[in-house]
Amino acid sequence: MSNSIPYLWLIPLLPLAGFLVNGLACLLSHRLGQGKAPNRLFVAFVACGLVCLALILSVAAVFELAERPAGERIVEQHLFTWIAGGEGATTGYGAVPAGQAAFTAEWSYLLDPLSAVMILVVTGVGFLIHVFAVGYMWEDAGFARFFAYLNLFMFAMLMLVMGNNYLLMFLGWEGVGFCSYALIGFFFHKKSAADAGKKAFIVNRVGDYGFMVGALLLFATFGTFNFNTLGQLVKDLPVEAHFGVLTAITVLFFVGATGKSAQIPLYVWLPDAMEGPTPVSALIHAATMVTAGVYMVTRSSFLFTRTPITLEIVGYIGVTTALVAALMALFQRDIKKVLAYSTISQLGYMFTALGVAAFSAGIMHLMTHAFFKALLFLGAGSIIHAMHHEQDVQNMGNLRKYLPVTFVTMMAAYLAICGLPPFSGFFSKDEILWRALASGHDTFYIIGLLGAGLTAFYMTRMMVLTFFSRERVREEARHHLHESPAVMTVPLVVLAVLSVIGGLIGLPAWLGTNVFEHWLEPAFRYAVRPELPHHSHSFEMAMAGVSVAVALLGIGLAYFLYQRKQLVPDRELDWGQVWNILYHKFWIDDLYDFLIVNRCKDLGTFLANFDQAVIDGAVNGTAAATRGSATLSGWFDRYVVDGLVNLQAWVVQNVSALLRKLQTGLIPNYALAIVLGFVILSCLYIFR
Amino acid sequence: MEPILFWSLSGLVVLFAFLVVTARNPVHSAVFLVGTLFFMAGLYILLDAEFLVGVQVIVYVGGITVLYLFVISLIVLRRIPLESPVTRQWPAAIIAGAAVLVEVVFFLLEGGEFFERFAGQKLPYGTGRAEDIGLALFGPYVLPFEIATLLLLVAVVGAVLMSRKPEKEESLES
Amino acid sequence: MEIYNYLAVSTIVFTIGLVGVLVRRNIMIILMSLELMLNAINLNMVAFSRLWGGIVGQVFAVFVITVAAAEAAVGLAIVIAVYRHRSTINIDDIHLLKW
Repeated sequence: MSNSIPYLWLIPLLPLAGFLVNGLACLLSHRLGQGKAPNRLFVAFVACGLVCLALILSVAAVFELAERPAGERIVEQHLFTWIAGGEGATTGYGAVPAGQAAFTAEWSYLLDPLSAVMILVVTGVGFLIHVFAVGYMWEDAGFARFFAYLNLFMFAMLMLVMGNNYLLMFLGWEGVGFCSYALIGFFFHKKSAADAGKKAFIVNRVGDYGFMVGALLLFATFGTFNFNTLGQLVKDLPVEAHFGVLTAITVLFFVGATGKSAQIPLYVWLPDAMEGPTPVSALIHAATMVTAGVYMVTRSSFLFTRTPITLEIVGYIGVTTALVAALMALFQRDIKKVLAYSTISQLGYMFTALGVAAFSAGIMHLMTHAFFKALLFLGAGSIIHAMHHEQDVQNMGNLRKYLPVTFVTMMAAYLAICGLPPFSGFFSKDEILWRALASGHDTFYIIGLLGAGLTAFYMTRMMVLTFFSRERVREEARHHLHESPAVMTVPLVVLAVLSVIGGLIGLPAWLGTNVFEHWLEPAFRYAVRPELPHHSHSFEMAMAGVSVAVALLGIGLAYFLYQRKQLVPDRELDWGQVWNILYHKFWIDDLYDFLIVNRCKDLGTFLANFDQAVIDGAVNGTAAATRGSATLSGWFDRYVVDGLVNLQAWVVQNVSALLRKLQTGLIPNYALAIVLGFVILSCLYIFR
Repeated sequence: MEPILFWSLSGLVVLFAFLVVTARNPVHSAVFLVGTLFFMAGLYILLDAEFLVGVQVIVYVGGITVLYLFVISLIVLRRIPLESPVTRQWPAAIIAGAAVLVEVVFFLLEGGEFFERFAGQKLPYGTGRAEDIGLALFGPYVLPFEIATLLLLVAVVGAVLMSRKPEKEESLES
Repeated sequence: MEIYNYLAVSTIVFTIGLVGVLVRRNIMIILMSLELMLNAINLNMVAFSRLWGGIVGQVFAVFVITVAAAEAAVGLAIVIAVYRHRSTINIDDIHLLKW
């Protein structure tokens, strides 16, 4: 592990510095500047400039890596020991020399081909989105806060992909989760935005719990979090045919992935996340954060390939999500919602690839998807900006007249996502479908194909309704309608170019060499190679043709309905039950609400009532009991104790009042008493 | 002869005693007391107590009742109380007196054999002549005799002291 | 001789004297009734002296007379003193010892 890229540690640090500077500027201007916002140019320069620097450094690092021979493309850089604790066991897994700490968390970075791809995507697309956001968010009062959070997100995402152990990955994992919450709920005055932020964080938390338990189980089994060490330890283990420790670990990891990457059943937060500003949707919920799950599974390929049960689960969930999300996207009216479900669907494709152990195909789709989905989102942002925050496609139409640059660039992305050659999306998606078929997973192939057709359909629907169909723009919006400024359109153009040419590095076998797959090879050196049956190139080419045909079918159908027949969302309601189910997304959100959300709220209410009635009641009860016993004691003291004393006095007083009457003071009475005494005594004497 | 004397004397004694107690005027009461004492002395004669007769008459009648009369005359006699001469407790007193009477009678009836105990014995210094009493007083009973003298002394001193007129400064309305 | 006769007389006189002490208001009469009681006692003593033939009873009677004299003197002195202060010989009016 040579340490020959000394500036590696700067790559995550630069965005962190941006966060600190912008954050500080926010705080200071609020405190000292009487609530005035920091200078926007300053903030923009700091944020974009630092990310640009990180991009440059990433490019330089990757070039340096590429210069090395293939077997040596692994660079680790150790910075410091973050946590050290516990007594070390001297035998077994994770054995340490006596006296050394059992558990150490090292802050070290890893640069290998996989993380190289990731940092390029993150910093590259991230930078473009930062530039776009400068234009998009210029009018907003929270400009500085936005870029502070955005930079923080970049830092966390880079930590996630550059850490050389699961602990640092988890650090980044949680970090992006927080930033997602902060940015989704950016317009926190809006209740729906704040709720969406909460939903995202809470649903993510469910997944994070799985990831955490899995990581702890991993540590308990192997004694280390480090990827390379684990790879070495696992190298000689056989494939687990039944449900064992490894399967448990990988299943738990996958639970975390479903949360972060919005698969069934934890996808429900992503459509709601569209409440955030559009650049956020582009960066976090298209290009980077949601791909963290894919990256994580890929990084853990040495585990997943040894647990075929988990891989099957991954594949099934992935392909099902791809299909179901595509169905849900069919009748959405909000342009961002369509893209959100599209993202879920495309993530499903990535997981399908992972499920058939086609890791490089999955990563390639991750990369191309980052390009075209970010572009689609930014384009939508451009539209929304121009339409003065109108998001319903019902009120769009014929926008190609008004927004030419946006139109052209979005067309590029659209063609890519539909999977038409020679655009990037064709190569990545086709590779996935081919690998699914080739590894014997026919169901995956069929469903994936169906999903591709649906993808083409709903994307065409969206594009037609937005750019081609009869103009339905409202009067008041028409006046604002103009193309976005250069700061917003230039990133669109760059991304469009990438969407077009991005696929060329991953050519399938019948067209050329898959440079991408070769590049990623070293990352999977500890994984088990799947046995691929050999298929002819012509078969492969034919299957590619089938997928293109299906895409064209979808496009054609959508074009027919929405352009020829001028179908509009308002008229879609006529489709009755079909529309109803799909528009309401199979009522899954409502189901979750009923089953989980409201039941949790009920628990909370119950506990609050319990606290009030029982616990406070007990406290108040003891207080009341004390009061009561005090009253009783007081009563007792007053009536019994004092009563006895008073009784004595009363007795003495009254008896003496009686007896006192004997003392008449009259001497004859006393003489009579003497005589009577004598009489009585002599009576006693007589009768004795 | 003796029974007649006895019965008449005792009847007179009782009569006069009754009169003493029931007289309104204290002077009358004192005179009736004199009578009672005289007839009591008569009874003493019947009982052979010669010396005692003399003592009775001289001391009791001649001394004590005279003293009473003196005092009565010193106190303003016109002050005869208008209210009843008897106290309010007279029913209880009558009953108490009756009870005492009954009891004494009872004792007397019961104690018959007591009287026979010393019957026939000759106790020392018999009869009632002066010399017998003298011998007894200066004989075995000399101590009570001396004490009696002391008592008389104290009585004299006390009587003089208590009936003295108070000093001018501390005099009250009299 | 019938001692009982003398004892009966003695008892009767004693009782009369007793009732007089208890009943009369005038102090002088009370004192005189007291003398009656003492005389009755004397008669008792002398009667028994005669019955048993000794002189003891008569000696006792002498002493009784002596004491009666002393007591009469002192008692009358007291009556005079009381009369000086209270101008009354009504025994019911001398009740400073009342509660």
